[in-house]
Amino acid sequence: MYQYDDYDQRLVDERVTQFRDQTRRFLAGTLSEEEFRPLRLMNGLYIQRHAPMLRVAIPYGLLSSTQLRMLAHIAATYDRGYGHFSTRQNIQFNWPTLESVPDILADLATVQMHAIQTSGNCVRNITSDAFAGVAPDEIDDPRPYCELLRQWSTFHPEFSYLPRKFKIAVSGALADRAATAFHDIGLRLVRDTERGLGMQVLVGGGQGRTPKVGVVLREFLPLEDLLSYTEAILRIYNQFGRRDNKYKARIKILVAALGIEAFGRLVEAEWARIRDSVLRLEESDLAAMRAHFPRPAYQSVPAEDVMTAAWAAMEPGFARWLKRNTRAHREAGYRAVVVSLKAPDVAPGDVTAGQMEALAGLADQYSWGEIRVTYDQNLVLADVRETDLHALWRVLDEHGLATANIGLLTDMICCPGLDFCSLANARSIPIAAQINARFADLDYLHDIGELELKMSGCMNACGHHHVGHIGILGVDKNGEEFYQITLGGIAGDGARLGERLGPGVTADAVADTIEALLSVYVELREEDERFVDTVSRCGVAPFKDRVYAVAA
Amino acid sequence: MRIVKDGRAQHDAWTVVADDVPLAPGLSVLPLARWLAESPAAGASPFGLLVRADDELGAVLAAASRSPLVAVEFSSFTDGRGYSFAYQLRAAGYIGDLRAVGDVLRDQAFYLARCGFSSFAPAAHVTSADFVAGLADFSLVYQSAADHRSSVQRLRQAG
Repeated sequence: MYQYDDYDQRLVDERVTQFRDQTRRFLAGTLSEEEFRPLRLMNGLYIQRHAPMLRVAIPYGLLSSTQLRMLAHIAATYDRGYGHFSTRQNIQFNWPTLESVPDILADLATVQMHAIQTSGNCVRNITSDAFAGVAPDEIDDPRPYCELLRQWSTFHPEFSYLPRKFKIAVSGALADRAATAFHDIGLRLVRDTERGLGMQVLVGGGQGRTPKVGVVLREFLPLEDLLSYTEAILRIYNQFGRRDNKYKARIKILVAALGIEAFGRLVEAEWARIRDSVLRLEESDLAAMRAHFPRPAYQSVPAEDVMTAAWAAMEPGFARWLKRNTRAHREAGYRAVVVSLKAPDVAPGDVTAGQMEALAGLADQYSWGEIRVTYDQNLVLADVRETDLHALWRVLDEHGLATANIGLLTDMICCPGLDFCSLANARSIPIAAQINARFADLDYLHDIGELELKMSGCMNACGHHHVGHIGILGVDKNGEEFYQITLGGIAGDGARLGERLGPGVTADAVADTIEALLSVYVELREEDERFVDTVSRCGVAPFKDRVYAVAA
Repeated sequence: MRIVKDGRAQHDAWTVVADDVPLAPGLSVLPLARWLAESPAAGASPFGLLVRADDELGAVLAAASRSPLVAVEFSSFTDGRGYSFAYQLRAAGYIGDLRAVGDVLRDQAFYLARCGFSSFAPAAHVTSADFVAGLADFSLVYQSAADHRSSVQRLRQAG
């Protein structure tokens, strides 16, 4: 993975010094709340319902075991012993004190970490595919481009006070596991027979109050132009994005208002001016960055391990985990393991300091000391030898990290909701608990198969409900919580927004409603059809009829 | 006005003149419409140009090329359009004094300078010494900008 050199380290250290001084001036009363607010947000610090919340950056979701141990230390020392992984591959701490944040940042800096630009109206953490570098369907490893963008966007003097936040995702595989169509800029690596490797550029995707699927701005961008083209987009957005209404300030609104052709003309004109500048990436720049992400020295091992098959035959729990929680690897004899942070009794994405310590040890033992954070709030050990899977599973299971539910109903995306977040209108964690209690039978979940349930406690859509196969949005109506259900959203390939089922249901009826939806699916499904495919084929109507018949 | 320029506190004779205030003798900075009305039709203008965030870039660039001073107004420090105006002015070849005025604070000093501002009129409650300190928040930069500093990437290449 990328290792800081003296330059990177000096910049992160200077950031700690800067923020320590800003915090000191705020506490001393010489920096007003209004002036401090954007500064603290650009260091990931929110003032929340109970305490400040600190969001720490995990660039494109990649962590070393040393870094994970530091996160465990921070959880244990400054927080209440746990952290929460977010859909943008970052980690959030819910209980630090404002005064301690400079010390936390100083601790993070010792392991090449920071909280830079994890909030605020600036370019946020670049997200990517958690299976980068190991996925069999990969066109090219996206991580070098993510790191180039990270450095270019860090402390960008012109783009630190944008109209609104700005999110970039990069996908390097045939399957889009980075939800690129739901980012301000989505970049998809493509290989063209004539032009070689390049990127398809999407713009204007996003969720929130006005969800939009990103549209193609450029079919093929040469890699050497990655930074100049991104800068052109940002400059047009900074100049013309709306600033009169924060709910209409994202680039998606500008793109929709101008139309993609007119927006594209502005970008192309600006790009033409800056394309042949210092922003151009030479082949040596690309090669130097790629060298930071070498392929591990894989051992030559048999493609299929006899002992693993034998264990699976003997232990149904292991067999189930093997099927659900491991993924194909480009290297024969290796698997990528998804560590489930969706145990039934835990808030989705939460992990304790003890679990982090254990995972850091397992990463060292079995996966080259690396851990990845996924878009759907799980972790990945990407390079595990098949012969090690059984031993790994046993330890993960001891730590409550082997729930065999990846891709299933209970592998929910869920925001912190009203329990923590000051923006939320409704609770989401207790609803997740209700769903977990109802759908505890793993055999039933495995029969239902792949199903992405995503839940947000308000229309800001941090829980990505718009793109859930089943989406749940918590709303407040005259002091009572209601939950609006959407069906058929897709975050990745074939990206689309879910369709609203009907009026919201009460908090105690969410699990009943899901059960009704699943019963319709079981009746209608054809062969191996997924829930979302049945919704596509049959429409929302049969589901709607059942749900509101039950309610009536 | 009180300014920071060349890394130190100074005073100069320029005054921002609001739209409804009569022109007085001395060096005046005028909003774009008034600048156009008061300046000669062609050639150098004696007036400084005040750029506001809603101004049209093309008109600003045309006027700037005839102005002895361009002041970009930040009505709020969170409105980042002024940064792009500064960048675009420098990119278009404006070489005169480019000044940040309005809600100009210490914690944005570094970014302002990088976008091409050459002088700064800090907000009344910001001391010049604090502002000067803010100009040195970072010793390195990750990207190219109007200040033409070598990015970390180029430093690495140079070895």
